[in-house]
Amino acid sequence: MNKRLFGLCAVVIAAFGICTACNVEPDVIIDINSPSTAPVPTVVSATNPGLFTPAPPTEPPYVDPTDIPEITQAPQLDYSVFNNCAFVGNSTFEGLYKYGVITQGSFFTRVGLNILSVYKQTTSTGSIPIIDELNTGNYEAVILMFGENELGWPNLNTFINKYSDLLDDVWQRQPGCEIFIMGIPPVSESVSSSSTTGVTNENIQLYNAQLVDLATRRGCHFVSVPESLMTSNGALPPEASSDGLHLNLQYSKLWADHICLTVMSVLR
Amino acid sequence: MKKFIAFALSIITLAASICGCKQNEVELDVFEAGNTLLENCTFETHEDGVTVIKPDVIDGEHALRLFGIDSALVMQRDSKHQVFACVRADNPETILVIEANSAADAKTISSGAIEATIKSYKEDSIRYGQEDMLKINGCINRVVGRYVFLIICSDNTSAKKVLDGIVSEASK
Repeated sequence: MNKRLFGLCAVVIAAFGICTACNVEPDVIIDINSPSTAPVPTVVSATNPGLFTPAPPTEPPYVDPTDIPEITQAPQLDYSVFNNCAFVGNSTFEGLYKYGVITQGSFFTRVGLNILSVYKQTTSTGSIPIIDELNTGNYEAVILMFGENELGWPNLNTFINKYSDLLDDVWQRQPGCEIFIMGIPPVSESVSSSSTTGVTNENIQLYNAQLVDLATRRGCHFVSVPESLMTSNGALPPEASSDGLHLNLQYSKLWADHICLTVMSVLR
Repeated sequence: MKKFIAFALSIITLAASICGCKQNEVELDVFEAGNTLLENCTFETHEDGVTVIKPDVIDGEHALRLFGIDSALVMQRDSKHQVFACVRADNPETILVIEANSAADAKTISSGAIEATIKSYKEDSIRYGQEDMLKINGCINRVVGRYVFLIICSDNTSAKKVLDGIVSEASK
């Protein structure tokens, strides 16, 4: 009897042991899905049209057929030029990092960032104002992306004056660094023609002209908007963006290549 | 007779235990699962109102940095972290499928980095319109075994069904 009982217990214990060895942990399905707590903002549509005016076509200079120019190779892209750069700006820059188009350097960006909130807002993971992120590190260059969120400001001069102040604050934190001022990419025809808040290609062109002047006056470098980001009307191509404002992955790469070549021309 | 019944019950118990073990295991390929989600979830259309724009697939290693996920928690095979990720720059739509080293690591990722990402998106509500806020508030942050899923799309209710189907298939 004892032997039989012992045998039965052994079988049961063995079965239990096998069960445990299977490491049965029921698949835990956790839906961490907080109810809505964030405020739902009011959407203000962007309207106001505007167009870039492309440069008038010029006749190519006469080339003597016997004078064969030396063939020069296009510069090779080298994204390592960004290794010691700081990118400071709004969601346009954030998109470059989000897509993994530019992963070198340090990104200090925030959705909706402007020339004033850079002194108050943090990055999404940071704890200090974005401008103060430049207090640490030693950057060869600081690349600035502002303007889209200021297109609706009543006074363009205010934007430029504040931008000039920002340059001083950047140099105060990173003495001697090269500063690159990014040109504002165009928006789509649809966005431009329907905006009522200054987000028009005409306005963007005005802002960019002032940014070129600012860069020249202050000894900075202006990064122009490449032609690949413009239609013949100076608008953002429809296939470049899903919302007419932010570049998709493909066009982000085109833009990043252009930024890279511009920065290389200065730093290398 | 009693001995026979006792023995039979033991065998039945043992067999049931073994079958139960197998049913609870989920094994899937994050890239296949991710692509299935990408193909079958609903995303926002282009500003033309017609063309559906899917999020763009990004490099897995970069995705770990982007979402602030500790790479030490993520399974590696052939020196490649098992991460499938696709994002959009202009809205919060996201597909993220991760195979963690263990169920515990999966919970850590989900309740840590993923929750922080969702919170960050909510705090950026200044940028996102009402439609996008609905996507974020109804998003899927789910742990199944050692797998983590983050889905933010235009129809999270349907996305849950797609995910349920993937998990069910992987459980067979």
